Amino acid sequence: MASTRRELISLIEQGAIPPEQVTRAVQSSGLRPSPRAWALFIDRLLLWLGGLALAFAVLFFIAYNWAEMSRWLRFVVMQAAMMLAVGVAIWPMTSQMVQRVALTSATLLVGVLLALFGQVYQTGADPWQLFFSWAVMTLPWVWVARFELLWVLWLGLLNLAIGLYFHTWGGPFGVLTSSDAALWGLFLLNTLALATWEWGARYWGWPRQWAVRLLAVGSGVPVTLLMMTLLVDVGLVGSPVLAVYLFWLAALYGVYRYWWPDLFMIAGGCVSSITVTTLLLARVLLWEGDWQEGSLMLISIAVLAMGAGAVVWLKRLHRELAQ
Amino acid sequence: MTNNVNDFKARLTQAGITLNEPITPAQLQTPWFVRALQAFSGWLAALFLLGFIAMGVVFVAESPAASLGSGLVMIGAAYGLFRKARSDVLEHLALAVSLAGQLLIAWAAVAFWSESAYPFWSLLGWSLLALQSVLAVVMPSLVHRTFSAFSASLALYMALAVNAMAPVVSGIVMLALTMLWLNEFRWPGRIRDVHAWSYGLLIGLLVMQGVAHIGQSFAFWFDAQNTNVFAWSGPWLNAVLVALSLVLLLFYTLPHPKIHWGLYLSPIGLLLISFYAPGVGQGLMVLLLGFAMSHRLVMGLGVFSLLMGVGSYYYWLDATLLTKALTLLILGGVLLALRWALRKWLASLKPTTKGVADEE
Repeated sequence: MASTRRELISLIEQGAIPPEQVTRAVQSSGLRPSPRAWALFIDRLLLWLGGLALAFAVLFFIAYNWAEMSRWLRFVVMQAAMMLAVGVAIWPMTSQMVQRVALTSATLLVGVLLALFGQVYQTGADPWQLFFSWAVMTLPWVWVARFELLWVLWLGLLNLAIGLYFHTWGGPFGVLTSSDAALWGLFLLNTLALATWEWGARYWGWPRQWAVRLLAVGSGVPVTLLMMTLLVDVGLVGSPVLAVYLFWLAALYGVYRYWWPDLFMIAGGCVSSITVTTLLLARVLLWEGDWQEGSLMLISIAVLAMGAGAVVWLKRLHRELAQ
Repeated sequence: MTNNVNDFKARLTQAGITLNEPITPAQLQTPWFVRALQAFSGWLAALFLLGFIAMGVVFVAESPAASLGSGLVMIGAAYGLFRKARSDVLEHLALAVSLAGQLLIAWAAVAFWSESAYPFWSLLGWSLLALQSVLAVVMPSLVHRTFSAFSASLALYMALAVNAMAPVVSGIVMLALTMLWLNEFRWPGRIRDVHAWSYGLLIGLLVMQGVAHIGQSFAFWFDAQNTNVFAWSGPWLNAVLVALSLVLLLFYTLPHPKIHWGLYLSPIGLLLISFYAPGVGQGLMVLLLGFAMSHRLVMGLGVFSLLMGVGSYYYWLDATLLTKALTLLILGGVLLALRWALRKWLASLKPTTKGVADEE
């Protein structure tokens, strides 16, 4: 879809399509979906919206604290809904798309069941165990569904579980301070997930469109925040954070420049570097020096230069990669 | 890549379109995230630049007239730079200068309107809307146009929120967005400009949805909320505008004479959804728009908006969770029944479309 759009716009901009024929060119380019494509899209949309509406209906129903309804009846309603979703998924006549919708709904319902369990037995509000058990219990379904959206949802659950765990208990690793532990946990999880996904894409043909980019953001944001925390707390000193951050930047560049070219990842690395360098400059020139207007101007020029340099470089890389 | 282009050209030629020799060489479009990086560093530089002005040339910040004057001069200088800019460095500089100039004008407007008898936020919103609208049209830079369109949508939100009419803004922006995408190719020389405005409005739409989601934390800004006699009409007007957007989309993209009559009922459905769950209606509309334009990014943002809408619906206080659960149950059942009916209808239509019913 995207390439048709790009080619059409490129031809119009080059003047290859005469202006008076642009409307006809758009009509015959295949850019606008055909009635058949619309039918297929509406079919899928209705299926997804319908399936998810039913799953959310159960969620809202359980969340409503209905005094007249006994706890056992609630568990029965909940489990019946889950069994129904799984039943639809394993029914032999079910198509792959319906199976995916059913398994996604079933995965959501497991979370609702665990929340109900927490509500009835008072296990605390949203503890890390809830999200962790949710992720563990739904792993088989996520595995058989072979569906990237569900994998991302599953990784989101693990992110929540790990974030909450480290936030509550601090880090089990000696070198890490407890306040940064949640960031370390998220960084390690998402980097591992990213590496696994890329490996799967390389050797097993896993789809790698938006999911790997999302995972890269999940890996880059925590490590950048760790580096920023270090700069704010103690400044630029020898620390495991500094070593990991520099290694992460180098690995990002090496992998996505040469091994599997992807400009989005390199641009993300640039944003991270610009942010960290600006903070470093601000620390050196503003908090450690005195607030002088010249320092602010200097930082402004530095940010401008870094931004412009990054854009020039990325555009050049883009041209190289496009050839 | 070259084969694709050749196939594409062949398809156009077969459709009877005579292709000229290209007048200009093919330009490689800058990816959206590179533009986002450019805007991000422009903003960051502008903030420090503003700090420099506030500290170094204090009289500018202290006097609204000097602030306004310097802001206008800076925007003028940025305009000149954009016109001359043949390099990214200059474009970047122009962006930072313009953003700092806009902040100075906004600062002057704050000082000027704070003494007025009329609601301050409303006056500030309208003046920023006027400024950003002019900049979105005038500034010869795509990044700037996107940013100005985004700021204009937020300024409109600010202007109308005081009168408790904030919900209408999403509808207005949605309608503008739909009209822009539907007219994407109307002016062949301005395709990129149309894209830049659309992206800006779309980001604005999502930010407004986010603000509505976290809702009450912004209430202190708008103390006149709910006192307006027209306040009740806000959600309805929004729903009508979203439904109108769907009507336009159907009218322009589905001129097929054999369209099933049931499709014409869909705007009414969207109107009701948009009234009871505005985020859901908005997300659906963006998703449909993205599909109609074959634009994956817009579709993805539509799904995001839809999910955010469902999240907001959970916290909607006008109905109990039981009512919401029953509504969703009925809605889910109706949607699946509609799907079943659609497949039956497609299967009975003709052999060529029957395949759709089996395709996944």
